[in-house]
Order: sequence, then C-alpha cells, then structure tokens
Amino acid sequence: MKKKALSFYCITLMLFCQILLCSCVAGALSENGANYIIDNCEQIKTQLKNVQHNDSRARVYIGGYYEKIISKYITPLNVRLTRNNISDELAQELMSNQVSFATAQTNFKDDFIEYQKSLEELINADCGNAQDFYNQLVTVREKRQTMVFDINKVSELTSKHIELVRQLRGRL
Amino acid sequence: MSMTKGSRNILILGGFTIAISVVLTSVSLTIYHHSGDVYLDRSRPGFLPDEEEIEDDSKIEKTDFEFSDSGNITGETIDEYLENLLKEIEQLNKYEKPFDAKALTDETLGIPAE
Repeated sequence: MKKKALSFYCITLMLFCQILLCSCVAGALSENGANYIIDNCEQIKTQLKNVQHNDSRARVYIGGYYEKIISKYITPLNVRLTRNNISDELAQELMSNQVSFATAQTNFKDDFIEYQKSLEELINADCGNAQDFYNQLVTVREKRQTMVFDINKVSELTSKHIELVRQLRGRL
Repeated sequence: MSMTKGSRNILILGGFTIAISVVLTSVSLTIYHHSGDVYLDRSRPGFLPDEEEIEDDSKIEKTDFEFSDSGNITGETIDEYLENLLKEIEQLNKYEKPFDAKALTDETLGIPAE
C-alpha cells in the first residue's frame, strides 16, 4: 500500500515539474498580457512590421560591409600571399581565418532568413490565441538573439584578421 | 463567321504561351519564396528605403579601395591595406545596436507583465 502511495506521489510530482518546465520554456503570459495582445493586435503587428523593416535595412547595411571586407580585402590579401610564395604559419592562419569569416557570413545570411520567416509567421499569426502568439514571439526573440551572436562572431574574426595582418606588417 | 485554320492555330499558340508563362512564373515565385531570397530582397513592396534612409546613406563615407591580389608584399602595401580596412570597419560599426533585443521586449510592445 505504501509503495502504491509513494509511486502516486512520485508520478504527480513528475507531472507537476513537467508542466512547470513547459510553461517556463514557452514563456508565461499573464491574464492582462493575454487581454492586451487580443485588444491591441493591430498595434503590436504594426510595431513588428517596423522592426521587420529596420532589420531588413540592418541586414543590407551590415551584410554589404561583410561582403566588401571579404571580397576586397581578406581574399585578395591571401591570394597575394600565395602568389608571393608566402605559406608560413601566419599565412596559413590568415587563410583559416578567411574560411571562418566566410562561414560566419553565410550563417549571418541563413540565420537572418530563418529569423525573418519566424517574424513573418508572427505578423500573420492570429492574436485570438494569445498564448500561442506569445510563444511565437518568444521564438522570434531567440532567433533575433542568434543574429547578435553572428555579428559578434564576425566582429571577433575581423579583429583576429587585423591582429594577424599587424603581425605580418611587423615582419616586413 | 467561320474561323480559318490559321487563325485557330494562332489562338491555340497564344493560349499555350500564356499557360506556359503562368506556370513558369508560379514556379519562379515559389522558388524565390522557399529559398528565402524574398527576405533578402529590399526591392519588394514595403521594404524600399525611405527618404530619411536614402539621406543617411548618402552621408556615409564610401571608399573605392580594393586590395590588388597581385604584386609584391611590402610594408607600404600592408599599411595602405590596414588604413582602408580600418575605415571600412569604422563605417560598419556606425550602425548602432543592430538586432537589439529591446525592440521586441514586452515593455516595448506594451505587453503588461502582470
């Protein structure tokens, strides 16, 4: 009898934890929050469209510079080093950094597409189910955060490239 | 008024051409949307740069420098390289807080926490 009671309490506790975990992951929405989303759906969507417009501008601006940096600076430098038969450890590091930069640039573009798809789904979503709308908003925020991570990664690789070129300059 | 064989053939050809155009355009638009290129395209309605943006862009200092992939590697060439690259990075960093999390917070969207 004691075993049965213990099992019952354990299962109840596990279910409770699971429900609690799910609500934390999805993002809890208060009753006021839900009512606000339903009542001000169009206003929220207008703000989201403005964000989408501004992000599109940011992508073109930043993506344009990434393309310029890799195609007019990093790649020609590495080609020139190869043509001058410089293939030491530093030249190899510069080449490896170029590959990482190109990967980070692709990630930036792909993650932007994923983020925009998600944002567009949110803009077209039905506010009637406020919790679902809010869960989608949480997903969009996570994808937006990935964009910041991608930008930081490219920034880190650019700094590394400059550091390596300065080392190259030091040798000349 | 009866239609001659030639007229009928021209009509069939016209209809066939329109049908092929519709199918090919639909396929192109589907690919354009599914590949995600639609999200990278700023020429679509609602995403064109506004006047303020065009004005801001015209103020950006643009360089035409392109490092040549041929020639010797000298101290001067690397100095010129670094000088121009740093200018580009300075312009890149002028875009303040791209994809700032604040734009989508509950507070910004007006969603009450309680």
